[in-house]
Amino acid sequence: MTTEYRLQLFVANHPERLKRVLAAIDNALTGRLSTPYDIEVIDVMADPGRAAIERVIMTPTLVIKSPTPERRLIGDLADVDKLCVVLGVRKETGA
Amino acid sequence: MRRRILVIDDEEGVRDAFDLALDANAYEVVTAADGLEGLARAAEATPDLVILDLKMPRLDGVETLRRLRLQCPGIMVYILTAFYEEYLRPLAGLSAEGAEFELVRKPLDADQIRGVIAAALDGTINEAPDPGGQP
Repeated sequence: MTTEYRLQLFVANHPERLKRVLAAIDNALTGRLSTPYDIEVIDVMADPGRAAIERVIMTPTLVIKSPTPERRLIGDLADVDKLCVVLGVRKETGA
Repeated sequence: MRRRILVIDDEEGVRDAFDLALDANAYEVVTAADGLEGLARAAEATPDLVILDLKMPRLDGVETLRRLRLQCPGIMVYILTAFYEEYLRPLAGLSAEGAEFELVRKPLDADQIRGVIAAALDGTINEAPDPGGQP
């Protein structure tokens, strides 16, 4: 099965924020895609080499590897509406 | 209203880089050359955001963060460091203590500084500035 959305989330030591970000991404994508999405969470504290390779400049950073072109989002990633816009998925308009 | 950003770093060039990169109409950049001075600046007026170096004389970044957490609970702290294991290792103890912080890579150019500060303070979703500066 092809995964249309492939994401990388670079985080540091901030478990509450990680929960919020993962929930927002899931809210933005679940039910709006015809295929599952894949998200890899990378702890920069544990694997700084990955962050260097991906040229991450801060945490949290969300790298959208696919669909291309690759995009990077930084800052508070917990806003579902903004995530929908950037991820290119349609926001829910009704109940 | 201007947001107050406290930059604690023993490298004058780093302190100046934040001061020069950020719009003085939007941000009040306050600087300190070590942890003790940084705690004093934070006591004068609680900053909206702290950019904190790790390796500094008198009081290093790890201990400064511990004291900042007591002095200003809930304050937003970004640790300014190269993303290498030997630099990040001292932060493991803080993680175990439950101290929350984020990381920002060192070095940053002026565009990256503006992007990082806007993202940290405004909570907006920005495309990261062009990455570079670290292999």
